[in-house]
Order: sequence, then C-alpha cells, then structure tokens
Amino acid sequence: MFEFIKKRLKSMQNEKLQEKNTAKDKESKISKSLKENLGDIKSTVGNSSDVIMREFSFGHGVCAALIFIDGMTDKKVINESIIEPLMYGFKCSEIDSPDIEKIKLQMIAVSEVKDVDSMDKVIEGFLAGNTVLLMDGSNKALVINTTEWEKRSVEEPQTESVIRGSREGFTENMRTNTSLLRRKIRNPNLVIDKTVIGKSTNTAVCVVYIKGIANTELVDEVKSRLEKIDTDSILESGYIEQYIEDAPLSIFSTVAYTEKPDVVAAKILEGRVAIIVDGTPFVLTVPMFFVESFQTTEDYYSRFYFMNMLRIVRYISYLITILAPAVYVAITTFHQELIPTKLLFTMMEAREGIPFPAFIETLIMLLAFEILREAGVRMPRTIGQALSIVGALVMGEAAVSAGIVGAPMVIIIAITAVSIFNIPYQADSAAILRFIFLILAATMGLYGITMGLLGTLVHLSSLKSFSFPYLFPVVPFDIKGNKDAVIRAPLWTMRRRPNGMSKKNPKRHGNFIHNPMQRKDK
Amino acid sequence: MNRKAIILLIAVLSTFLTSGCWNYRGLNEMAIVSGLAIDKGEDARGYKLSFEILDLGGSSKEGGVKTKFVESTGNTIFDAIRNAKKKTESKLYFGNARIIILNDKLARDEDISQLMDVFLRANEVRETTNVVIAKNMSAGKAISSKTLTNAITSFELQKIIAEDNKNTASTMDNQLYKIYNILKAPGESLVLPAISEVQNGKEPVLEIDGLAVFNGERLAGYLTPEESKYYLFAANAIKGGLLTLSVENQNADSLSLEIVKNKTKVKNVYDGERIKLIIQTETDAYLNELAENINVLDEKQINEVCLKEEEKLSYLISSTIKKVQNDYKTDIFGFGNKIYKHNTKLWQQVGSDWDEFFGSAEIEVKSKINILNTDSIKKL
Repeated sequence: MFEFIKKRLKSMQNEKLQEKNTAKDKESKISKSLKENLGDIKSTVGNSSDVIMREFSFGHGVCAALIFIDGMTDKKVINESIIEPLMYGFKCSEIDSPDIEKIKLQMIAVSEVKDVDSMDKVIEGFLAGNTVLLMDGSNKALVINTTEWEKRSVEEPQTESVIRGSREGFTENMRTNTSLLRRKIRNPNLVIDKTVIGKSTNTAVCVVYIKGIANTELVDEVKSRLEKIDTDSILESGYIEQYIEDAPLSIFSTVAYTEKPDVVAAKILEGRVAIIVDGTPFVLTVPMFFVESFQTTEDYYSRFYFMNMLRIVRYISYLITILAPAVYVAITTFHQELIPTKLLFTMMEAREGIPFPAFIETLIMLLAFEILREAGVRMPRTIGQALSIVGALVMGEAAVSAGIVGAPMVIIIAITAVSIFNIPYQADSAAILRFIFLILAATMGLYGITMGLLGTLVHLSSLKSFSFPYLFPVVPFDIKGNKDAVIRAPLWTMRRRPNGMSKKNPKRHGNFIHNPMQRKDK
Repeated sequence: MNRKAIILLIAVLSTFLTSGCWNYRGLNEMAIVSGLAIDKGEDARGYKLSFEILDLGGSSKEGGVKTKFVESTGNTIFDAIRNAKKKTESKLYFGNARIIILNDKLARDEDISQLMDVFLRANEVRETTNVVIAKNMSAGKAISSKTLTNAITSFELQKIIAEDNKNTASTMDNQLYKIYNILKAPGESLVLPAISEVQNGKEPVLEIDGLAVFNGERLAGYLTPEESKYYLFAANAIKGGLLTLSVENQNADSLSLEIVKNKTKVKNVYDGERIKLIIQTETDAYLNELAENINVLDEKQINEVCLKEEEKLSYLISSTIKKVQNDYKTDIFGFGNKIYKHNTKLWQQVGSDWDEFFGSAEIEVKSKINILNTDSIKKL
C-alpha cells in the first residue's frame, strides 16, 4: 500500500518538474518607454493601494518614476537620498540623458543599489521592499535597497527556555536571524546561500553551512531538494520540512527545528546544514538523529555529571510517556501476579466501583488530557488560568471522587503528561505511540507491548535522514559517537565531530587534554 | 498487491491474532486468597477447605485491611476450590496466597505429595507458598484465628516463619517447591513448620511450635522449638538464634550467646555393618548477656565459656539426633543425601536401606564456638 502511494508521489513530482521547466522560458524585458513600463506594472499588480508610483522629472527633462510599497520602505531614505539628490543635487543639472551608470555612481546616496534589465526582477525588487527607479528612454532599472518594516525584537524563545545559556531567539525577520548566526560564528567560511521558493509567496529561504566542515554532498543534496519544491506558498519552515524530509509517512520527524541561534550554531559546527525561512523563527537543521531529541544546549554549557543525570532522566521520561498507560492497563488486566500484594490490594480498592474497564478508563483520561493540552495552547492567554484550575479539578479531584476513574489512573496520566514536556522534539510522535501501545496492551497484554516496541525499533532503524541513519550512533554502533548519545562525555574528550558528518575536517580540537597536573609539570 | 505482499500481511496478522495474552481479567473480577486450610471431610470422604480472602468492602484507610472466610467441601481439593466459587461473586485468585495449613490427622493419613499436587500444577499458586501443619487443632480453626499484629492471618504466619527461621532458630522455612525437592531427594526426609494455639494474656493466638517430622510422605511426629534449633545445627541450616549456658551457676543459665554464623560438616565412617556419623560444627557468636562474674578481656575465662558451651551444644545436638533415630527412624537431616552426592560407592551399599542404617548409626558431635565480640562492656 505504501509502495503504491510512493509511486504515485513520484509520478506527481515528475509532472511538476516538467511544468516548471516550460514556465521558465519567457522573461519579459524592460522597454525603453516609461509609460509602457508603468502600464505593465499596473496590469501586474492591479489596483493595489500600497504600491506607490511617483512620477517626476529631473535634470534636463528626464522623466522618471519611483515604485515602492508603502509600509515596507523607509520614506526618509527615499526623500533624502533618492529624490533630493536627483531633483536638487548640485550635479543634477548636468544630467541630460537617462544614463543609468552615471546616476547609480554619482547621484543615489544609498548603500545598496543594483541595476536590472528584466520586468520580473523589477517586480520582485519592489515587492521585497526595495525602491525601483525607472527612467524614460532606458531599458534598465535601478533597484535601491530601502527596506524598513515593523518587526519583532529579539526575545527569549517561548518554546525553548533555558537556565544557563544565551536567551536570544530567532525572529520572523530573516536578516535578523542570519545576523544572529553571523555574530555567533565570525568566520568567512560561514555560507548563507539565499534562494526564493514559492510561486505566489516568493519566500526567501537561506541554506546555511560552514564551508570546509559540512560535506559538499550534503549541501548539494539539501539544495537539490529545495530546488525540487514546486509550490505556490511557503508560510513557515514546516512547509519546507514536509517537502524535503526522507520519510514523509513516518510518525517520526527526520528534520530538526529550533528557535535558538546557539543551537543552530552548534549544529552547523558539527557539519549539519541549517535552513532559515523568512517569516518564521523556527530554523531547520539536517540531518537529524533520534538522540538529538534528548539533547539540550545546557547539556554542554553546564558540567557533565549533573547534565548526564538529567539526560538519563529525559530518556526515562520518554519511556514513561509512551509506555506508562499501556503498562498499567496490561498489568492490571493480564498480569496481576506482577503486582506486589499490598499494592494490588490498594489498586483493587481504588478500582472498586469504577464503571469502566481499565482500558476505557485510560482512554477517557488520555483523551481528556489531549483536549486540555490543545485548549491550553489555543485559548487566549487571559483565560489560561481558568483552564488550569478546571483541568486540575476535572482531571484529578472531581473524576476520582465521582467514581469515574481511579486514583492510580490519575497518577499514571499525570506522570505521562508531565514526562512529555521533557522531550518536546518527540512530543508529537510520543502522543501517537502512546495510543498505539495502549491498544496493543489492552488486546494482548505485555506481549503486545513487546511486539509494539520491536516494531517501533525496526521502523526507527529503517529511517534515514539525508542518508544518515536515524538511530546513529546507536545503530550502527559507533563508539566515538556514543560520547554524546545517552551520556555526554566531558567536552575535552569529544575531539571529533559526529562520525561521517564532516569528512574533510573531522577534528574539533587538537590533542588538548584537560589535565591540570600535566600543565604544572611544564 | 502482489502475492508476496499478501503472504507477508497474513504472516504479520497471524502473529497478532493467534498469539498474545488471552487471560483478560479486570482487577474487580477477582477475590484475592491470602491463605487456605485443608481438613478432612466430615464423613471421612473428600476434603473441607477454608479460605481466607481479602475483604474489599472496608477501606484500608480506616482501620486496616479486613478478611473474610469461605468454607467449602469437595471430593477432591480442586473440586472444593471450585465449590467455593458458589459462595463468592468472583473467582478465587491464588497468586497472592501465602500459606497452606494442613490438619495433623490429614497429614498423618494421606500422602503429602498428592495433597500438594494441585497447587504445584496450577499456574496461579506461587512455589514460594509456605505449607504448615496445625498441631492440635483443625486447620480451618487455625486460619480463622487471630494473630497479634497483622489483620491478615496468613501474611503474618508467613512472616513469622521466615523471621523465626532466621532469628529464633525454632523452625525451618520450607516452601512448596522445597517439599518436592526434599521428597524426591534420596536420603533426606521432610520437615515442615508446625503451629499451635497458645494463650497470650487472655486471648488465644497462633504460635510457631517447632517442626513436624515426616517419614516418607506421611507425618510421623514433632520436634519442640528447642529441638528444632539443634536440628538446624545438624542440618547446617542455622542462621541465627541464641545459645544459653552457665559457668558457675548450677540452677539456671546466666549467659547468652547470639549465633552469627555456623558451618556444619558431616563425615562418615562405614565399617561394613554400622555407619558412624561425625558431625563437626563451628559457630561464630557474640556474647550478648553476661550475668556472671567473668572478665571478658581475660582470654582464659572466655575460653572457659567457650569450652562449656561446646560441651553443652554437642550433647544437645547428639541427643536431638538420637531422638529422631529412636522415635521416627527417618533422616530429616539429609546425612544420607550428602553421602549420595559425594560418596556414590558407599551410597550403593547403604542407599537401599538408608533409614535402617541411619536409625542404628553411631553419632559423634564435635562443636566449636568462637566468641567474636562481647558488646563493648567489660564488666558490670
């Protein structure tokens, strides 16, 4: 069945590629007549009120027009650095022909100016917030960078808060995001390669990597996958993620995302490639390993004993969050002999008078939790407080005292619900796995859970992310990679980047051994 | 879809449909049995069983767990277990049963391995369940009588047996699986803990009362708690308990030694007619009570204490063995089993008639006591 869907997808992709090739061949040139050009633009953008066309003349009767979008440009720059020098500048009287080179070199007092000769580039230019200067009698136009729009300032990310480490988070503005990265890695080899994706949205997408560290095959693969995207809109990096991921039908994501510049910096320094999409603070990094879901920046910023403990806690949380309800159901309905007598007695007492079997009871509570969680995200912040009170009462006290669910069930759901927040990157897959395991447990007991775990393991080992095995460094086992998998070795022992990630430059640092005793001898 | 895919699908589906756990049973569909007692049926046919089941009615938060008793009769033991279901809402669950009490008369008349067969065969009953003999009362009365601390009689009895085996050395913690191990082992006979009712103040309570001695598969008699201690010495199974003696005082004991560790070795000499068993015990002990005028720092005086105790202990062990030889003629100490394991040639000569050889064996006991510690105080 999956084969069929895959084949179908492939044929669809091929069709799209052909379409794209045929669409690319005609490109309209700028004509010499200003009126014609303005007419062209008007017919393309329609009657949009925010597209402003300012017609004026300067020098010895050179007719010109400025085209820009209100709200995306800095009017002060347009007035003082474009219009003023052209109309009142001390050299303006010398201009008697639409000499684009001369005007670009001598008249325009703006830092970034480009000359273009196609109508598409003109339209693309002013839609991106630039100001376009068109002149009668010239078949070239100047695209002057005057972008300035309202944007959010750099704030602490809401989804990934830390105790120790940088509190900067990416914003919706792509240039701010690239600057945050550039500030972390002041290296000429940091490449920020921009392309535009989306036929309607023309969204800027940057591929970021470090030349000399990232494998060229990986960079090429990312670029070619981005090129293949044929869609009319990219509104968030999630669109890109779903178009380029290796296993689109798996419940596990094979592309990582983050809101924090230091995370992206660390990942591209390991040889990964980041994809920044304009308009979203979420930056993608590829390839993704499963163990990455259990790593946080603080693992590396704080000393390793405590952080290792927390990392192990994260792995345990993951197991709890996917297995706790299932194991509870399996043990209480099939394997009572596994429960110590006194606990069994307490549990039986708690279940006394509960009208539903354990499976239905668990299902009700899990569903209630998912409803509450979703409501907590969607509802206006101001009534969030009310929700938490209602949630706590409904989930806990009321349900137990009304005899609808047992007290042990509430404990199980509570620990399951809390555990998922320890591994936010796997939260979506864990929520689905939890229900699958629950159904397996209710029908086949611990045997079912074991079968489910085996199936999950087989599936995980079959996954690849940009030709890297998803379970690396556990499968295939890599002893050096395991320095940063379940446990994190001290930083100075991690001399190499993850195996295979950087073929040209695998070493992080030299034979530096952090041993104060040795240094004293010297 | 092609053939291959269909075959694969069927294979995967059948692993789910033809296997898995099938004994679905909710927690509220079972009655937990904590212990059961077996008596002879009234007209000497069949059995009468009494079950102690945990009562869910009363909440454990208010005044502890309560228990209820169910009695039933049947032609076989399993028949009686099924008949008990007629009186209860849900099926009895034996996964947490801790104790099986057998009536004295039943154990004397019937083969214990046949009595216990149903419990060993059933998948629910744990092999670690304790089996005890009710000495001077019916088993049903024993299980329904009160114990001092725990509301659940069966649980308390099991705890008492396990702890007494370690701390007072007055009984042997033989569990269900061990009954079969011992019965099937050549040259060894079974002992089981015995219980009887005693007066504690005004109310009657259950107490562990030594050991029940089996000859083959049938009950033969009892050992007192004191004799049980020396049985444990001889069988190399002692883990704790006290030794008392006096050095100067002739009327009463005034010294206590707490046993920490003991090792018993058995040697045998066969002269063609009789077998001679030489039992050597070496015991490490702490001196815990001393109501006599002895300087514990003086090696000579301490050695005197050791010598006295060695003499007393060896006498008591040998007299216990002699009592078993004379009264029961059955090797509960497992001396024969040691010969079977380590001296096959000798066992071929004596094995077929081991009980006779054991009954007439010459016993020599050599005891050694090491006092490791005198608990800080030099002298009162």
